[in-house]
Amino acid sequence: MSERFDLRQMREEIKLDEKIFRAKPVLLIQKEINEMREKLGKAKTKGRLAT
Amino acid sequence: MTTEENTSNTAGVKPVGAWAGLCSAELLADVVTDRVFVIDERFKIQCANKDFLSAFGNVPLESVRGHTLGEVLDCRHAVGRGACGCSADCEGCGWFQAVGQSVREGLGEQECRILTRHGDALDFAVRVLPAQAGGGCVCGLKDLFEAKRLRVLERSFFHDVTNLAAGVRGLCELVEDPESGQGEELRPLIHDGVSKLADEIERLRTLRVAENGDLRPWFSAVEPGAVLRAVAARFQEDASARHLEVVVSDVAAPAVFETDRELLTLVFGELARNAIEASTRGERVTLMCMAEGGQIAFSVHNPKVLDARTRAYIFERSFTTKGPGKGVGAYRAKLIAERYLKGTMGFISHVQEGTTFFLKLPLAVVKSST
Amino acid sequence: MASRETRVVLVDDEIHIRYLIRSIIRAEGYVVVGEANNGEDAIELYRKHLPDLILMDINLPLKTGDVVLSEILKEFPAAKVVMLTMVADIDTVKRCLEMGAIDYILKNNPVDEIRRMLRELVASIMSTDEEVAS
Repeated sequence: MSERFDLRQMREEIKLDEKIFRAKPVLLIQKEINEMREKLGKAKTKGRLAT
Repeated sequence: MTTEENTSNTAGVKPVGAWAGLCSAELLADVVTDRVFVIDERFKIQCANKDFLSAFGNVPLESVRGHTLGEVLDCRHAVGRGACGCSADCEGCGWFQAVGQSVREGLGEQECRILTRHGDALDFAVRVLPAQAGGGCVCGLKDLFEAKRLRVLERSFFHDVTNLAAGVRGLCELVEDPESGQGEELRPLIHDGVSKLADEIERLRTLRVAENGDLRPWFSAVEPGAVLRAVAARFQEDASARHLEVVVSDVAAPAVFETDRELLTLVFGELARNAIEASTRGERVTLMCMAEGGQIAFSVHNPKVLDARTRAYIFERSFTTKGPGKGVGAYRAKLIAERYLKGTMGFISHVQEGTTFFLKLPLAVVKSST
Repeated sequence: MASRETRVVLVDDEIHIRYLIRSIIRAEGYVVVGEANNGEDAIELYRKHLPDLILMDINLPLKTGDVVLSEILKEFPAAKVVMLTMVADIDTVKRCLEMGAIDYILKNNPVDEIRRMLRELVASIMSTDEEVAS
């Protein structure tokens, strides 16, 4: 394998790069985040935070 | 103007013929500022526009005619005769898929990343239309490298800027809130935050203008020491977060020289960023400046040694956008240094000595005004 | 019985944010027991202080906040970690909450909002701790 590059590594980097580049993030506002938190069962009520 | 009137004015020349000349595909294709070419049913290029040929060093059409796109781009899968479409990897190729799509749907549009035999990856958006007759296709190729890199850079820029703005706004709210008990002591912090914001925005603006080739450098008297200190100050927080020491060495150069201060700080800042991001906890990054033989060299040293791959690619158009990186990229910095500052950029990296990146500029000493 | 002070660790690489949040925290009567500007130090600080609450940014040098979240929770499953960040994409938010962050607060909220959210969080935490203690 050439010292200049490792094809496997290149392919991994390209895969990661594609993921980052193609990401079309859906951005949430605080209200939506709070709703998600509630939905995921992490309400800020007594007992819910107990381990 | 009607056909009859025309005929009477231009005896022997039919307007249809005149328009046909102006509307010829060749004329249109040569005006297009992207790469356009035609392939036959065997994927072999039959003709190409000026932009396509100039992308390969202004080669004559004969040198690409009869070859597939893969061969011309030195695709690592374009081996043997037949080239495009002959390797198992071709099925996943965006270009190959675009051609297939054009046949099925009348238009093929895909993005394509071609890995060359030298380890480069070329990013394109391809658009393919089946030819009206003859079984070939008309193809357009758009280089995506800059667009991609800029998109990632701007994402990172917007994150940093909104982060800083949120902090400054919050501090202003504290000042406004009588219950917070905070007032005058926040003023320097707010000022610092807003200055940083303005600097970041200005930096991106300069970069965009430079990208378009519209930048007009403004040469003025610049103190080399001040540039080193400004760059050190800019990265102080980041360096401290990484537990690095950034040191400004004594300047062995004239007190002032002529250059574009903003571009110099942008470009040298990129070298400093690379050095800081490459260093590990406890290491020292040293900023230096030295005049020698009609040149002034700004350099950054860190104890790490570059690996072979980084050495090979650091100044080349990287095939990846290097994740959510913040920097403008060494490649872009080098272009700016060469094009606008008439300088050169390079590095020396040895096991015992670490790595020194340097930016060398022509030393034009400012004449005394008195 | 006087309730003890709430002890907080604050992690953000941006000096203005740290100052702002520190001011808010102190104004509420909580104590900042440690501050970090990178992900690696964040974990060390948590281990050292075992705070009631850790407020953490995501984009941190050396180790990002989502990775730190995962590592802290692995070692301290009862840790109360609140993401305090500008990162608002749905995937990151979901991932952090699913991993176990007890809240996710955007830094661009008005100061009053941040204050209110912290108050509610601390009230929950402290009352839960009292229940557990009794």
